[in-house]
Order: sequence, then C-alpha cells, then structure tokens
Amino acid sequence: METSVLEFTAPELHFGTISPLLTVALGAVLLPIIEAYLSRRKSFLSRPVTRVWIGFMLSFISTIFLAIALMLTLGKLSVPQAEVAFNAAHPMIAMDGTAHFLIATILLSAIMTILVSGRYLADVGANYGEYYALVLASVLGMMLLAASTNMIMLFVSLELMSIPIYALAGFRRLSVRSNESAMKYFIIGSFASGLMLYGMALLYGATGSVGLAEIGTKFDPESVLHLLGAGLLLIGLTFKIAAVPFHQWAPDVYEGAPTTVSGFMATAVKVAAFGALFRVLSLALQPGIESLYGALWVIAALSMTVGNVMAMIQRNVKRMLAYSSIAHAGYLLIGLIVPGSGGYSAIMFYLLVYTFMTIGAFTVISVLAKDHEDKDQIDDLAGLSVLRPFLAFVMAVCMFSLAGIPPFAGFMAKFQLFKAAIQASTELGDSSLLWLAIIGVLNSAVSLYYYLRIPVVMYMRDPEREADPDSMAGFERLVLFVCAAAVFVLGIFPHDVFVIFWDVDVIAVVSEAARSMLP
Amino acid sequence: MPDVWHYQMVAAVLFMIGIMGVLVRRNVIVMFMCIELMLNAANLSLIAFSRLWGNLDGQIFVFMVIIVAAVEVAVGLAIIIALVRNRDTVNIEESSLLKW
Amino acid sequence: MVNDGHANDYLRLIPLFPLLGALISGIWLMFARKEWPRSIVILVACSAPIASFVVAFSQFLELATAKFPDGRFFIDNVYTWIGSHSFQAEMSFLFDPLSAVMVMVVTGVGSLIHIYSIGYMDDDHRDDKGFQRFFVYLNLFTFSMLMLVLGDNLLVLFVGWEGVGLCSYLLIGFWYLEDHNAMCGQKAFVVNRIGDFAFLIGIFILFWAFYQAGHPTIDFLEMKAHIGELTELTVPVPPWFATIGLAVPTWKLLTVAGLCFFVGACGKSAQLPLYVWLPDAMAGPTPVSALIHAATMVTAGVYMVCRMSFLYDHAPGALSTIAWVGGLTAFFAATIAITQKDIKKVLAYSTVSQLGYMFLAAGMASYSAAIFHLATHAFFKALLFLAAGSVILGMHHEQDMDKMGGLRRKMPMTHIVFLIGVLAIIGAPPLSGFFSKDEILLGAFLNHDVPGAKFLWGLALFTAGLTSFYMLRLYFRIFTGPTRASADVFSHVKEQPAVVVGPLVVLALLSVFAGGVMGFPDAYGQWLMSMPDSNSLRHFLSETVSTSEHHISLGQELGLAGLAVFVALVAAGLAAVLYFYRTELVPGLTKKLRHVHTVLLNKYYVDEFYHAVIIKPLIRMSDALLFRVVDQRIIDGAGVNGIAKLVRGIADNGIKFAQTGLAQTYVFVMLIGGVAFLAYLVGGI
Repeated sequence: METSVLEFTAPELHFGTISPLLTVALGAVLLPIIEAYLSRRKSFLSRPVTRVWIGFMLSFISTIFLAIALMLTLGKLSVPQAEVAFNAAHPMIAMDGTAHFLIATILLSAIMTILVSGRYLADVGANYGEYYALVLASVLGMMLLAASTNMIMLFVSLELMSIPIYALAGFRRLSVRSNESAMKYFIIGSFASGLMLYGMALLYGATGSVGLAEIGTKFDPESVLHLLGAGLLLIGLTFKIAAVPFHQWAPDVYEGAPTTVSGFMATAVKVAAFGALFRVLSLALQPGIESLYGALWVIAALSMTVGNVMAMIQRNVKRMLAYSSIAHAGYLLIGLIVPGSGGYSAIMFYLLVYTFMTIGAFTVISVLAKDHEDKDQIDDLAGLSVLRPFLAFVMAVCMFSLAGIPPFAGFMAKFQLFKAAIQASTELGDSSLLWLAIIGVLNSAVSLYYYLRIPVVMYMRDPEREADPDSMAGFERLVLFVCAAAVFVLGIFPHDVFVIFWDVDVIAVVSEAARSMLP
Repeated sequence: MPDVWHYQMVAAVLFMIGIMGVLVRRNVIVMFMCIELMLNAANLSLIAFSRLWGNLDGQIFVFMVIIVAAVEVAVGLAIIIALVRNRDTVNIEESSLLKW
Repeated sequence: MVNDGHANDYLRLIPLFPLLGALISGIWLMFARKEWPRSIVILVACSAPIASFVVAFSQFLELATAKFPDGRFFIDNVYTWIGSHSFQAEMSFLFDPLSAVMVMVVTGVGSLIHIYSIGYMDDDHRDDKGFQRFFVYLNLFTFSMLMLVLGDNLLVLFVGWEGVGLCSYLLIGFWYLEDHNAMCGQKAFVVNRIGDFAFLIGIFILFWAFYQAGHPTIDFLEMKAHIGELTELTVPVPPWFATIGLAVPTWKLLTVAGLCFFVGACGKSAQLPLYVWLPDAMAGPTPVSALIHAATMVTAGVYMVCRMSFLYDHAPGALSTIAWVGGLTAFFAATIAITQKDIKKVLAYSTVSQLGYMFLAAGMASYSAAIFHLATHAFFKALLFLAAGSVILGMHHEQDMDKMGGLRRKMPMTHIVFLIGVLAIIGAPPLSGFFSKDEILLGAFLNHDVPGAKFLWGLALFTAGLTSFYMLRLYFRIFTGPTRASADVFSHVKEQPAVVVGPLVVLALLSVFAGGVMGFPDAYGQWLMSMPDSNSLRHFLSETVSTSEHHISLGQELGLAGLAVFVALVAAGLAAVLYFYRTELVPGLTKKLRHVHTVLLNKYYVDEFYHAVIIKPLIRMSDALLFRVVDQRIIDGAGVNGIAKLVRGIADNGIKFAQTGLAQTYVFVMLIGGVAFLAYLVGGI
C-alpha cells in the first residue's frame, strides 16, 4: 500500500547472523556435486572408489558442514537477543536465543544421524549419496522453520523440511515397507500442508499481512475467519509433532522408514515444529490464546494417553518408539499451555534431552540391522546383554530415561515441565493445568510398563541366537556413548554441564533463550 | 459485480472438492492431484485477498506455493514410481502392510 | 556465601580419585567378558586412595598453617545439586579440622588396606571376576566414605551414608555363593535401614525447624549459625489430642531431632540395640572387616554426632541418652567378647565396645576425645584385624581359636604387630590407646551434666579391665602354648609376604606413636616439656566442635591414668594366669560359672530374642496378610496387573483397529479431529 511496486530497496544482509544457515545450504548444494565428482573417479587418495567408501566420504563431508554450523550457532547462544537477519521492519526470521538453541539441537540430531547412517545404509543396501544432500536440505528447512516469523517463510521452510524427509522415508527403494511408509507420509503430509496453507490464506485475508508479529496486533479472537485460519495453521503444525488426532501417520512411517531416518524424524522434525509453534502462539495468536489453550489441553491429554496406551501392545521397537514419541509430544504440549517463558524453556530442555535419548534408542536398533534386514522386533532384543553388552546398556539407559526415572535426564526434563505447569497453576489459581500435570504423571507411570519391558527382555531372557560378530563402526560407538553420557550428565548436572572447556548451566541457557523470544 | 467473497466461495468450494477427492479416490495419483487442487484453492484465496488488501504479500506467497508444489510433484511422483515398481499398483488400499 | 579465603577447588579431587577408580574398573567389568590382568587392577585400585591421601595431606597442611580470620575451614562448591526457590542443596565439600582428621584416617588407613588386600585376595581364584570386583567395591566404598565426611550439608552426608551402607552390604556378601554370607549381608542392610530411616526423619525435622525459623537450609555452617533460634521450638501437637483428653508432654524439637540422628548413628555404628549386624558382618573378607567394620564406616555415627555437635549442645537430653547408650554398649559388648571363640567375632565385639567408648565421650560433650579415640582405634583395630587376617591366611582360613595356639615362632612379625595392637587397645602407656582412653575417662569423670556420669565412669573403667582380659585371652590363645591345630595344618603355617606384612608394620608404628603425637595431654605437656598446648588434636578440633576446658591438676590426671592402668594390669594378670600359666584352671572355672558362660557364649540370646519377638511375627504377618492378600490379591491382582490387562485389552481390542494401515482412514480421522478442533475454537468462545 505505502510502497510503490517499482521502488526497490536492497535487503540488508547480515551474513554473520545467517552464517549457520548459509553453511548448511552450501553443504546441501555442494554434496551432489561432490558425489558426482567422486563416483567418476577410479581411485581417490589411492583408495578404490567403492559405494561404501563414497558413502563414508560424503557422511564425513556433511558432518563437517554441520559441525561448522553447530560451532557458529553455539557461539551465538551466549548472545540471546534477536539478531536482525534481513530487514528489521519486516523480519522473515528472528535469530534469537530460542532459534539458536533449537537450531543447535537440530544440528546435533542431524550430526548424530549422519554419523550412524553410513554403515546402516550399506548394511540394508541403500547406500546412495543423495541421502546426505537430502538430510542437509531438510536441516536447512528445520533451521529456518525454528526461526521463521513470517507465514511465507514458515510455509516454505516447512516444505523444505518435509519434502526431503518424504524422500528419505522411502530411501530403501527396494523395500516395500519403506515405499509404503514414504507414500503414506507424503500423501498425509501434503494434505496437512494443504490445510495449513489454506489457514494461512484465511489469516492473511483476515489481517492483510503475512508477518506473525503484525498478525498478532490485528488478531481478533471474536472473528470466525481469524479463528478458522488460526485453527488450520495449528493443525498443520501439530501434525508435524504427531499429536493426537493428527498422529496416525507416525507409527506407520517410523516403522517403515530406514531406522536412522526414523530417529531423525522423531527428534529434529519435532524440535523444528515446536520452534514454529512457539512463534505462532507467542507472536501471532497471543490475543486469542485463552481459547486456544482449551483445545491444546485436550490435544495434550489425548496425545499422552493414546500414545502410551497404544505403545503397550506393540511388538516392534520402532513402532513402539513412534507411539512413545506421540506420548512425548503430549508431555511437550503441556509446556506450550503454560503462559510465559517458563513452559517454553522447559520444552526446550525436554527437546534437547529427548533428542539424545531417542537418537540413542534408534541407533541401537539400526546397529542391530544385518543382512538387509532390520532386527527391530522386541523379541530380537532377547539376551542382548550377553550378546552385545554395550548396546544393551545404552538401550537400557535410553529406556529408563524415556520412562522418566531419576537420575536420568528424562526425569529432569519431565520434572521441569510438570514443575512449570504446577507453578503456573498455583499462580493463576487455574486447576486445569494442575490436572494436565496429573494426567502427565499418571501417563508416565503407565509408560513404565512398555519401556521397562525392553531392559527386561535384554537382561533377563536368554539369547535366542548366536552372538554376531561385533560389526559396530567407530562412529556408532561414539554416538551411542555420547547419547548415554548426555542422558546421565543432563540428568545429574543440568545446572553444570561440562563440555570440554565450558561449564554450561543448561537450565539457565534455556530459560534465557526462552525469554529472548517473548516480546 | 463480483467482490472478494465470491472469489473466496470459489476457493472454498475447490478446497472442499480437493479434500473430498483425497478421501474418496483410491488412485494415489488422483489423490495427489486433489491435494494440488487444495493448494490451488489456497492460491486463489491468497490472490483474491491480496487484491482486497492492496499489498503484494499474497501474490509473493502464491509464487512460493507454486514452486513448492512443483517440488512436491517431483518428489511425490518419484515415490509413487518406486512403489509401482515394487508393487505394480497405484491403488492405495493395497499398501497397508504397516498397521496396528 | 563462600568467602574467598575459604574456597578451595582441590577438595573435589579427594573423592574424585576413588570414584574414577571404581567407575573405570567397574564399567569395564560391566561390559567385558574378562577381568583385567591383576597388575592393572592393582595399579588402578591402589593408586586411587593413595592419590586422595596425597591431596588430602597437602590440603591438611594448608588448613593447619593458613590464617583464617573467621573460622578454619575450606569449602569447595562443585555445583548446585538441587535448586528450588526455598531449598538449595549444593554439591559442596567442607574441609574443617573435623573432616580433615576423618579424611586423613579414611584415606590413610584405606590406602594401607588396599595394599594389604592385594596379598589377601591373591588366592581368590573363583571365575566370577572376583578380584577386580573386590577392588571396585573397595574404591566405591572409599568414595562414599569421603563423600560422607566431606559433605558440606546433610544431603551430601546422607548420600555418602547410604553409599557406605551399600558397599558394606556388597562386601559382606562378597562370597555370595555361600548362603550364610549373603544372609549376613542382608542382615546388615536391613538393620541399617532402621537407623537410616530415623536419620532421614531427623533431617526432615531439622529442615522443617529451620524452615519455621526462616532459614531453610541443611548446610552445616548455616545451621550452626542459626541453631540458637530454634531452641524454643517444640514438637507441634495436633489440636484434637487435647479434645480427646490426651495429655502430651511438650518435646523440644532439637532433642527429638538429635535422638533421631542418634538412632541413625546407632544403626551405622552398631550400638545397642542395633549392634546385632556387626558380628555377622565378619562374614566378609578380612580387609573389609578392617576397613569398613572397624576403622571407618562404623565410626560414621560418631563422626556424625560430632558434626552435629552444635545441635547436641542445645539438646542435653539427647546427649545424656548418647552417653548412657554408649557406656552400656561398651560394657555389654565387652562381656560377650570374653567367651567368643571365633577370633574375628572377638574383634567385632571389641569394636562394638570401643565404639561405645566413643559415644560415651561424645555424650559427655568431649567430642575431641571421641574423635581422638576414633583415630587411634582406626589404627590399632585395623592393625588387629589385618594381623588376624594374616593369621587366618596362615591357618588356611581357620578362624576358631580353639584350633590355634603356638603361632609365635611360626609367624614372628605377625606376632609382634598383634601384640602391639593388643597393648594399644588395652591402654598400655605410652601407646596410642592409653592417651585416647584416658581422655575419655577423664571427660566422664569431670562431667556434671549427664545424670549418673560418675556411674558411667566406673562402668567404663571396669570395661577397660574387661577389654584387657579378653584381648590378652585372644593373644595367648593364638600365639602361645602348645598348638591345638592338626599337625598337617600347623606344619604349613608360615609368615606372609611383604605386601601383607608391610601395611601391618606401618599400622603398628601408628598404633604406638600416633596417640602421643596427636593428643599428649596438656597436663603432661606442661609437666614434662613446659608446653601448655601439647594436646594438638584437641586444640585443632576446638575450632569446629565445642570443647569444654578441663581444669585439672597434674596429680588428678596422673591418678586417674594410674587407676586405669592398674585395672587393666589386674585384668591382664588374670588373663595371663588363666590362659598362659595355669590353662588347666579354665575348664573348671567354666563349669562353675556355666550359667553365666552359656548366656555370654550365646550373646545374651539377643539374636534369638529379636527373632522371636520381631522377625517371626513380622514375617508371619507379612506373609499371611501383606503378601498373600494385600500384595498378591489387591495390588498385583486388582491393581497393577488388572489395570495393565484392562488397558492392554482396550488397546488390543479397540483403539488398535483405528490404526487400519490405510492412508485414507488417517486422513479421515485427521479431518474429523480437525473439524472438532475448529468447532471448539469457533463455537467455544
């Protein structure tokens, strides 16, 4: 309206601010070229160029890109105020403390996924180089999604995140289950995107702007158009975190997808989608938040209950973990309903912890894969403590942590969430949050039933097969060790994590980060 | 003289047709086309609203959506081709190995 | 709250080394199928306590020499363990004179016993990775014990408290393949739980009391600073008590808390009536008996009472109870020790008795005497146990003194150090036990606050005689006279290697000299060297625990000491007559006193009494009511399994079928859910 179409102002680009994004984007673009280059040669550095070797090189190169991005992001964590990326008046993304923390978590998840992928892909006969380019592209989408403050950016980055993952889910081209998984995810995911896009169109129509902050100033919780738009937008986002009733794709997709991809989906996608939910709820929908809380309350309670109940009857570990991720989405939603930054910071801590324990569990399953077959039935784990003691130990730690047993990090994370909910409920005199916390605690008790079954099977049943030769790659060992160690350390010293040369108070970091996002 | 709400009605009808198509058709490719219909309904709505508010945000959004849709087509068809190679069918009801 | 002068980052290293030792070695054991070569096990396990000892010693020197304007202590704040808005628990370590002495004892004696264990465990060739496991437990114990004595607040102390209990359980039942050992471990654990429960209640009460007074804290220094504000608090009485006509005396809160803590100490330090586990704990390997069940863990109760002395200063009722329980235990255990035949059992009852002495001293508010005796006792009792272990090794795991005798020539070094230990414990001047026991007796003699203090003094004096009698009986029966062992065994007895004898010699030297160096009484110091503060330990400790000044003349001091020595001499003479010169008198005497003898031999039937009155009814009720009805039927049947079955049933027969595997169903469910969501939003405004 106020600017003429022909007037052109060059965007201000702050390269320092978006350097992690640029690094990952560069990696995503360069990796296919590198792959083409490598596969045309007969030998490289006096090594014969085999598919396995290319896979290893590519995973190594993409890890370097991601690690640089992670370093850059961690460097920014200590400066929590929002940095301007393009245009301060109409920001597309907000690189604030929340974004940096979530981006760091996403990058961690991606690095761990890539490190454990090489051997797994070779094992299941899907060792294609584009895997790494797809992961990096998806990571770029996630990073943008976690930071986006504009509906256009939100939509584009959501699709940039999802589309590579559709392809990754079907990455085992010869496996029927993998095909089916990709197809279902693709159809249902696109459908959800369609709903979300229509919601965005309605919101734009209602307010006349696409910036989340501007929408927030004009949002009218009395108007049907506004509410329909907001509701459809939220459906699209809650679909990505697999909350009931938009959850049914998750078990099928996680079970069919390559195991490493399932771990990646369960963690990084959830982290990014929660970033988007933070922005949408705190910026755009703040005026109507009261009426949204009720709906989210129901979704949270349903997710926890349905996820845990269904997980009880599963025989496949990946499928069980999928239902457990639905339940965890429910726990996480509790934090979203807590007003103020307390809930957000609890969610961020939970997401970090959840990333470690879930990647750890999926990695154990991926290590067990052999002869082009996943060994992902619960019965396959029988006697694992004798056959592969280290794997059994890491798996047990992850299960205890997922179940929320102290002193593992899962307990500390749940404790922070429920504490935030209970504090808010006493401060506001609103018992509904208290009830939600009670439902959460009861559900945690239910979840013990299926989480503890895994250690029981591993430690108390006799192995049904011969011991395999220990075929673990060094990277896999490293990732498993890091996951187990992180679960211990974050559970025992959440205030004092010692990372090589820093001393980090993770709880303080997340609360600082959460505060930076709120206006 | 049609006003913006007429365009919105058309968009809403298209959107509903898309949803119903996804629900009732069994052919994956047709379902996919119905999803594209949903996206285009949203596009129409965005264009109309852009005209209503007199700013360009909506139109820019539409360009982005078109690009995303094109990308989605590429990936989606690849997935469907992989499925057809293994199963020799595009009927979605025939791929239900993963359940319960 | 940490002043700059008190911060000291080295303290965390002290518990860290044994923890690392236990972790590295233990994690290996967890995952690996084979244990390390023994040399590596030994290297890892023994370097840990020695490294701790070196750090502790350097910090000890620093502590003793540095100038502190406001109290002599170091604090190492590692991290905030639990932080909520009204309650803060730091993982921090306090190194003041009291904990310094304890740390020195724990790491010093601990190091020696680690080294001794190399030799003692060497013939353990079971295939359950026992050698490495033993050292993992031993390191873990050292870590827990250091947490206990270094903890800056009650919670850290409690972590160590539970940790040492766990390690004690693991080590008593170390040779778990024999049922008896496993049962003994369980007994120790269960009896300790009773004490721990009371201890925990005590922590709650105290925290609650400080919370009432507006200082929610469990930090020792802060509690000490604010304890004065709690003296008027009483145990709240529910108002309905009065309405139903129940008259309840008003209890002072500090007294109740102090008694709770003391019950905890009774469990850990084997006092009446919870001492029953300690004699059975001798089922563990002998180095364990020396380290855990004589020198360190069992003294944790004494340490804790001294650590909480600021509380007991305001709770005279609790203090008197401690003195009486301690005095009675000392006497009671000594009488049992007279008749026991198993040499480790004799030493165990002697430990109980000596711990009683320490509590007697603590109860008489002479905390420094308690700590003094704790330290000297750690030396000579560890020495006695280790020497007994050497004898047991020599006799091929024979512990019955009826099958020993005449070992003097076969094991000359062991004989000498054992004799030194015996002389130290019976208080022969100028060995260490003489000084420490003397100070306890002096404290009891001069005390006017505890009712019946003079009687307790007399009892302690008499017990000193008993101690002398049974220790010399032990000595004579093992080392002198004709042997009662079979010729085959006896011919194979030989002196142990240096790795066993070496630590014995060091401990023997400590037993001889440590007492005079640490606690040479001021009165003697003035007299012999004109040094008014020769009792260095007492002056060192006086900055932490309250010490009452003894105004006592040299004559009185000499007289009391002379009396104690005289009693010990008489008893020693009696023992010499009975067990050395005229051994043929013993059977007749036993026959004449057979009623007393039987009662003593059976340890006053306390175990049988507990079994009949507490354990059996408890098991009956648990089995018939709690297990069969409450647990099996109600909780398991209807509760856990029932609900699990119900939920699974619902999932298996109901919700499961919503997950059809058909993409369109999912879209449909999504749509229904979405419509409901939107309808709620739009309609539910």
